[in-house]
Amino acid sequence: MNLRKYRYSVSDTYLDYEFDSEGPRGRIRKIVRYRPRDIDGITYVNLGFGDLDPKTGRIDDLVITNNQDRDLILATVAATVLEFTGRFPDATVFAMGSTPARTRLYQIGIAIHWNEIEPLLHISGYEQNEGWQPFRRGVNYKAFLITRK
Amino acid sequence: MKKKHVKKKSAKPRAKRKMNDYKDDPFFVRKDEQADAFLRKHGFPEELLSQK
Repeated sequence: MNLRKYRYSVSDTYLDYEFDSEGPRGRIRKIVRYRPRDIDGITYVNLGFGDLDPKTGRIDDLVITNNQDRDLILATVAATVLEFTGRFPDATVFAMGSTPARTRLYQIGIAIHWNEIEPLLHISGYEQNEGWQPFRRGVNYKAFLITRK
Repeated sequence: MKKKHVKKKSAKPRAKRKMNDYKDDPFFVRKDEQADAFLRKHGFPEELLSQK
């Protein structure tokens, strides 16, 4: 994906990613974390994404940073998804925002970059009354499941 | 004439390094619990289950 994005760091395990958002509100450290989970014998990987609070050292994704770099951040998170699923092609990644607004941001990010994403990833979205469906632009989803093609 | 050595910059926008482990961070612990609860309630797509 040759979109503008932040340079990010990746851990030795390829499970943790960090980058700095830079804008009018200063530099904000973003953490993207993938953790394998198991539900009744089905393994999936949960995507966690939030801001590092430098004062507490803790993560928060309810804070609204307004650093005017939304598209750059979404492109960077998408790049980590591509890197992670490239390393672990059998992984199923689950993504859901902490609030409906955050989930909608994921949806916007996927829709904006759909032409670049679609050849590489299968994305299902959970619709309120329809259940899991292949991703379509313009539909509101509650969560996403992502696998490598 | 000696060839000038030009160091190629990596096209990949990333650097590999040791990082803090946030596995016990309350935010991520809560996120994992929410994800489990959602998938227990709503399940996985059929086509995904057939691949597994």
